[in-house]
Amino acid sequence: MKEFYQAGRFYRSLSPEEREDLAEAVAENIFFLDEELQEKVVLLLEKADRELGNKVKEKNRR
Amino acid sequence: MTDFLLLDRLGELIRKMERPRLLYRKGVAAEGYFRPYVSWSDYTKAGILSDPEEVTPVAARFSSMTGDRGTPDTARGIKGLAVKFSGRREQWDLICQSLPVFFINREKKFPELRDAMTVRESFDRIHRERFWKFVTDNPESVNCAVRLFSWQGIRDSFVDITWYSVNTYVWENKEGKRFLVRYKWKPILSGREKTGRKTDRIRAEFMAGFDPDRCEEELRDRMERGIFPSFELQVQIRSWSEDEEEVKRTLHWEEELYTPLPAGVMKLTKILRPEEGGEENMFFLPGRTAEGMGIYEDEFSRVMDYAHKAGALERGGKP
Repeated sequence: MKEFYQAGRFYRSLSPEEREDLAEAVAENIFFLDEELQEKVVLLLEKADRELGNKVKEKNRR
Repeated sequence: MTDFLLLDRLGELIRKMERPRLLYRKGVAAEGYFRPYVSWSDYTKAGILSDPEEVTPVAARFSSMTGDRGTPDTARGIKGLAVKFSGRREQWDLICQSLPVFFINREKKFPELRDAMTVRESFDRIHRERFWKFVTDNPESVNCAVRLFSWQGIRDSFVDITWYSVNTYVWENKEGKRFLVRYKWKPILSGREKTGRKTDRIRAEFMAGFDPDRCEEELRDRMERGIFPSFELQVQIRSWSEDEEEVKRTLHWEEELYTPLPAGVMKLTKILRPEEGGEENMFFLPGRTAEGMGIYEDEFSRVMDYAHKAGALERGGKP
């Protein structure tokens, strides 16, 4: 799906601080959701960009 | 004895109470003018874009997709800019938003998206659980969701935003040749103004409590100081195609592939107050376009046009 490709490209066009901020914003937003849905979100973001998915997962664990 | 005059007066007040819009409730309007840089008559028959000497009066409404009066402008969300061009021969409404893509391209998914963006009543803010469920169930929305959670989802200014039509339009010239077009409004800022300003989340949260009408105040403040906001209209033009993939609202037209061309300039010179027939009485229809520059018609655009019309009628307007 081309949407994943474009979402990934957008993520990679951001500065390191902006990437961090994006991951932080998502992690904060999904923090109180069911684990199952959290995992789905991480999987979805990983499909756009592996680093983005990993960052959200990591931040969510803390 | 009942005071019927008082009852009449109360009834009048109740009747006068405006029904709010379904979405993009919180907004501010301004008027100004538009002028194309060159004639675009090789590409479109539209009069508004045909003569660089001709100035077209415009009315613009800046708004937030979610939220109501009193809710913070700096909450995460999409902003809107709708512009009504009142040309000599034609009227054209151009509706744009602050992100280059939308969540969905299928009209059937709209009610569910509405629920995902609603906590209490109607499009007030992102409902965390429903939002992420919607995004994971409808993966085409990932492109919009990632942008929404980036710095682009938090705005503290209406003036320092690039606006995107998202919808695709069809230009047609006198020879009947057709093109696919997307529009963009790029802010023209003077040297001492900031560009591409990024508000961080901490500052946005502070602003939310300190000045919930941040974007509106900034616009008013600039106008009062005589700094009139200008936006350059840019167009991305592609040759005609029946390929539905190319006009999907969930996909961005990449700028390296489809260079945005400077088409004209809009300058806003005056804030319209509600009592001057301002933003509350303004209605925009995505399908109101001039000849030679129609919207790319699909079920989504037809349903949205209907929704805008129905909403305007319901609120006592004449769309």
